[in-house]
Amino acid sequence: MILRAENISKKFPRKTGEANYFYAVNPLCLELEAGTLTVLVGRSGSGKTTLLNMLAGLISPSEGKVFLEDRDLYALTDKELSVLRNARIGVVPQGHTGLDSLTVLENVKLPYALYHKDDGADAYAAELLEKLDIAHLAAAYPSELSGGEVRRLAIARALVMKPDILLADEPTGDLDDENTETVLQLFREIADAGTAVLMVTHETGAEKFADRVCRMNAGDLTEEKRVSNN
Amino acid sequence: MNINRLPVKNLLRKSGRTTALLILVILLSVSMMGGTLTVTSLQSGLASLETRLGADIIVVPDEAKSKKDLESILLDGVPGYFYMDRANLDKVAAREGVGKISAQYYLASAKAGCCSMPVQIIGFDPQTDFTVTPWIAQSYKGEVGPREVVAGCNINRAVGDTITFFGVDCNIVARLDSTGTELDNAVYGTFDTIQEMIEGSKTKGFAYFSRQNPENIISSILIDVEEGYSIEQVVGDINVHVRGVEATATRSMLSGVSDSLAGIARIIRLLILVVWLLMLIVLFVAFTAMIGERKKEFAILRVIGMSRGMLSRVILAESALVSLAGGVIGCLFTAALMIPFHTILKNELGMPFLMPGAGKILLIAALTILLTVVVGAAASSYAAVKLSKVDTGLILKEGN
Repeated sequence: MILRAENISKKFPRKTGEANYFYAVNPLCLELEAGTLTVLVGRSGSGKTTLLNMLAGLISPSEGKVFLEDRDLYALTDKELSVLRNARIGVVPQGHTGLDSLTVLENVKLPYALYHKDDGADAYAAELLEKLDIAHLAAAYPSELSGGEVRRLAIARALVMKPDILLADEPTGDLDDENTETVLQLFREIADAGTAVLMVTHETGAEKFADRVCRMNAGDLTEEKRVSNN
Repeated sequence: MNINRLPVKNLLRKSGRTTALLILVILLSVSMMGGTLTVTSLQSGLASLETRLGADIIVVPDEAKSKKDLESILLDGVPGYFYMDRANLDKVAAREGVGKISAQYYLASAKAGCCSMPVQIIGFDPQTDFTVTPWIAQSYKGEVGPREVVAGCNINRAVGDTITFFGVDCNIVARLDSTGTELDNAVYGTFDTIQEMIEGSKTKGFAYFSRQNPENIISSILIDVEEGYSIEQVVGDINVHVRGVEATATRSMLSGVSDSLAGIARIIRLLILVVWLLMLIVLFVAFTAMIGERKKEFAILRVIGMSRGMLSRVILAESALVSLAGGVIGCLFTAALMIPFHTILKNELGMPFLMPGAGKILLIAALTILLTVVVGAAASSYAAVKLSKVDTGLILKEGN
């Protein structure tokens, strides 16, 4: 086990209605293990993104705790949590997440540059761009890219620190079939190399790459199946 | 990739946004530096006029026109003249409380062929003078002899040039430092030189000296009050006991100018304050809107592991760079406009106006830049703190 969520839930204040809040995520437990690719499916608004953000240390749960090994993420200071996330948790958020003032290559190398002065990530960043077929766009700016290219930029950026955990929110959302296959294959390889991967997706073909499929439904999490790719 | 370069990259890549913020900061610094320079120059001008008059009391002939003429000479730069009997000097000197005392001659040169230019000519007695001599000493170490004059800084002649008044050729031995007052438009010479000019004016047929013997007349008497006596006391004593003259405290003569100047300075200060308040609000709104517009960008930086502190430093560095650049450009623009063209401003205001020296201008510029940087930093910090209170994940969800 690398990442463990213990009875975490998230409630938000409701603007209208009788109750003054609603649960986006009902109390749940979840463990992400090294070398495992978990696919999280569910309808829009079922709480998938909120759960992923809580696991990433980006939305504080209303109740419960999230542990990375034995460290409670939400008991850490902002600086400790930021450094930890930078080094060990790769996140691919939804949507267009390219930083417009940086080139594709600079975007990908940025996580390393936050806490390092050297160019230690250059080779791996270039390798990731090759793998994701955007190496030819290294000098381009995000505003010059298609939606699918920006998604692949975000994936490369999430992987550049070789994280122990990868949390990806609809990483194949804007991709064509060929690139979807490439990304899913890459995630599989990363999981096989020891990373705990959680992928929120509507992609039906993702399940064949997964070790485990979970479903969110109205804030509740259920495990649908465990599959073996070995 | 160097994280320290991120603020610069952000500013350069979003040039439209950066230019808009820059223009706001430039307006802020122009209003601040321009206004402060104007107020300072007005205050220095008045202080300079007080210093250059250099006397506690001025005594002029007891005619309404004389005092008005004196004010016109000193404050409006209109060349003029008025005279009284020299015997008044001894009468005034005999009064109690009178310390240093010296007479002056005023002579207005003509536009006609006898004179190089129409200016105010002021004659002083080098034996007793205590007002013009210290001023001359700042730029000329020698003594001013017969047929030698010292030119105010606005007189368009160089040292060594010859200048002619009423047919008398005078050598310019020095040029005085600027006072920012109408005294800069005058020419100064000793009694001997002035008396020669008066004689010359008679020869040239100028009627106003025809019935006067220049050795027996003076225009004004300048007095420094002895320690232990009040200026008002001595003024009153002279006005009661010496007939045919009117003594006025220099400070009260300047009080009209001082009041107008205080009024103008108050208005300018108020305008600076209003402009600053408006700009402050605009800057806060601009920075808040800018950070609001960029909150997803900042959320992404948090996602990849940037701490709140680091993010605040990036935002602060951006605002500091814009504020610094805007402050410097604004100050340079103001200096480039005000230093060479301050005479136009002085003429428009019709007040003593003395630009401060380079050191003081630099100090005002430095304070202006510091203030703009602080305001920019405060505005962006406020917006950054507001943003940091929201969970990054919520910003990301909101942005999708």
